[in-house]
Amino acid sequence: MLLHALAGGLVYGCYFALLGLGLNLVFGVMRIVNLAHGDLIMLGAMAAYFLYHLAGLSPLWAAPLVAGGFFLLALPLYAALLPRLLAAREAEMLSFTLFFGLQQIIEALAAIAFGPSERSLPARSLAAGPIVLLGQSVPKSWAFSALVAVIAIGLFYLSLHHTRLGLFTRAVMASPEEAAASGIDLSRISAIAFGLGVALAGLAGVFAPFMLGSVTPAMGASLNLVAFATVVVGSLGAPLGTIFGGLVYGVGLLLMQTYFSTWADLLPDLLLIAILLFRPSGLLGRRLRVA
Amino acid sequence: MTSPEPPAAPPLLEVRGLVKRFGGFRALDGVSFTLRAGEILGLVGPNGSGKTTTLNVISGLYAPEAGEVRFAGRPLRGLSPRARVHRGINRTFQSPRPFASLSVRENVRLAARFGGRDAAPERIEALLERLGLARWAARPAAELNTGQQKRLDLARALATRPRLLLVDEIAAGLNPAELESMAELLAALAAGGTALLVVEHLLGFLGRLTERVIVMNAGREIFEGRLAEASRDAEVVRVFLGEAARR
Amino acid sequence: MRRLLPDLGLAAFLLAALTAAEFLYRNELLVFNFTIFFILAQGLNAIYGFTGYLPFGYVGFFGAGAYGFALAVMHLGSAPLPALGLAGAAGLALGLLLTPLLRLSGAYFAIANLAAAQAVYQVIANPALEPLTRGPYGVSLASVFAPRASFLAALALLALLLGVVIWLRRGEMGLALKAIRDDPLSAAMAGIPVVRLRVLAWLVSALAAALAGGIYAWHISVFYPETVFDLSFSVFAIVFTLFGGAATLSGPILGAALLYGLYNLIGITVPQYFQLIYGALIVALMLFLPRGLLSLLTDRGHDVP
Repeated sequence: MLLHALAGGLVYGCYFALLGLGLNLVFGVMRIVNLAHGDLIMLGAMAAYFLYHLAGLSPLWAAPLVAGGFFLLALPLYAALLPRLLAAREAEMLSFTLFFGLQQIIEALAAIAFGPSERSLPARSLAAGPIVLLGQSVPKSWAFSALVAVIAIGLFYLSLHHTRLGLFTRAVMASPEEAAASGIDLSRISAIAFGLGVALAGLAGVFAPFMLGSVTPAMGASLNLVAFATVVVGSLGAPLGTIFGGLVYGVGLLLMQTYFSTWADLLPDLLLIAILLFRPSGLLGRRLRVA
Repeated sequence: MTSPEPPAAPPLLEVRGLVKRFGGFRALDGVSFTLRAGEILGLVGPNGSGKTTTLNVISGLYAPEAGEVRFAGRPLRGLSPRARVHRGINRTFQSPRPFASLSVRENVRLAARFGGRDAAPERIEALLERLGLARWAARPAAELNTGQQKRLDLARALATRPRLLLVDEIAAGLNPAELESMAELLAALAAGGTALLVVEHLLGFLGRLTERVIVMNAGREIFEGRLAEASRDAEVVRVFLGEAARR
Repeated sequence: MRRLLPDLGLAAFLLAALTAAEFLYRNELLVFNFTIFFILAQGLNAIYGFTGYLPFGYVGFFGAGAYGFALAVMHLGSAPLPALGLAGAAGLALGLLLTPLLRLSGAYFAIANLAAAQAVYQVIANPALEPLTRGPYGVSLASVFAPRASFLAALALLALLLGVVIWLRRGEMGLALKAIRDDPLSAAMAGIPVVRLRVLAWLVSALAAALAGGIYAWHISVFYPETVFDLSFSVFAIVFTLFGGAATLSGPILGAALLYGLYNLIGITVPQYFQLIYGALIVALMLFLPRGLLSLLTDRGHDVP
């Protein structure tokens, strides 16, 4: 029982880290909480569903397509909304509310376009059968999803720490004022970070049907809480802390489901509140965010 | 108007051996001085030398790791900034922090009501008049320019009837006429018995207020005495030239 | 006193209009729902408009109040009015429990508050608590069903709350709260008791929502946890307030009247279209009119109630 929960938890943890990564990147660079993050994940899942059922495309092929497409769609969205907001006096609260509006728009459009029915992808569209991990058998589709998450996070880490763009991005995260003063183009970095954040949400969405069950237009709101919980457990504004947050959350969730199944749904909420109150900088973090 | 206390009276403010660290950085490393009612003490030094940190510790924004601040003979340890305001300590900020959405008059009225426990309209109007803010009294504070906002900061502090006023770089950004009237105002406050601790980069402005200064560097006092003599002190010269060279 | 006339006039007009509608118009549930949303929008206004804290989980207090009322009726056999007392107490207790959240700023507060509301919902709806709360199976309070009396209670609560908001707007207390919102450190240096006033506004806001929840439970008398913890209550209250303009008396009234009216025209049959409209409204407001419709007037120096 315990080992099974741990094995499942680790696999889920990698995936949860991917769920939160884009949210955290956008926050780290722009100090903006993208409340539409969960709905973008939902759109990624819908895209995977239609690519499979209409074009016969396996999620593994859909993944780069969706991520790339989302990145390109995010750029005009950035240009339309954010420069105006970031210049405002209370940018943080305004953008939070604006993204809440965007979330409502996406949810409504998805409900109009797709209807309320639950959609799912068969496990064999990704990979059928079990795989053995820590001596426990785990569905292969979970393991593949987790593997894609690990690869995506790995690539993200490499580009953050070993490219010029990554260096600039880290500079902006550390101090936007100083980065701008040393000649870094803030709006270019922000636009790319926003695009990447949206692309990561789309990517996470592609594998949502395997990890989170069926997909509905209304799933975005609760995904937000999950993504936010992973992010704050790691550290808000430090994207790599999200991996740690994802693992803590994944293992915690599976342990709860194994031993206290009726109360497992409380986990993201209580974890979020507890961390924000007692370790507002995250379990690993250093940045304090209190009034 | 109270006349300055005789020298035998205990000092109004006693600061002893203050130490304040931020991570590994020692912002204050054993700062001590005293200040009497009606006296003006200047605090100068390069950026990051601990001047504003000293004000922040005295006004209760940070707790020091070691050392003590006594006000009117009583220790201030553990008192919130607000409790210190009620004891008679107030301050201005390096970059002014008005209540932006309230009118200038409302800014002052709140401080008079909650900090000074006397919001008599005549008193508020007199303060606005004295700080040259009467013309803008009904405007939102956000619409004031920096010099006016600095005067508003000061008006709000004065509305709480401080016996000790901590002034953080109030001269920066003021035009010559404003500098003139600000110097007169601060001198008049001291003449009325208020003790002033003035952090200032503009030594010409400071020189018109007081002769007595402390020069700080890296969280320590490196000189205490007359402003005119400070410029002949070898270490002070080294610190200031060093700063000039870094720029 | 003269400054208060427009505020008092508006409050009296609103209360009279609702009373007239209740007695003349056939769709009595619609009038009641309007009253509830006027209350929720003003209750949210008390905390958001005057302190800047945006409680995304505002519905948590509403649901807690509804269940406080239901538990009192089911287990204690309370009459409706004492049961409303328990509804208020539930809201105040939850509000006190959540006061530490006020240490968080901006988006952190909003999200933590949302998580708290979800947590309360999940506890109440949990099948393990069926003997106490009936869990997910819902409650029936047919024994105390009294639509007219509960409507009057809602009207009385609205009147009280309008009075509180007028007091906040025109009195020194509201001014002090706005000062705290603008700059908490400066407020402390002005001698304002920052923590105490914030908690006060928070509890007023929590109490208003909890009493509204209790009255709502009384009025509809049969409901499920997801009925009274529906996130739409938070969302509507926020959108109505932002749309009209927070920190005014008329803003939330205007927002609730226009948008809830719109909702009843198109939202009930096709909720997605209404959701699309208010989503777009929020985006447009944040980009072009972040302080609501009424800021068009206040920015030109007009004094609106």
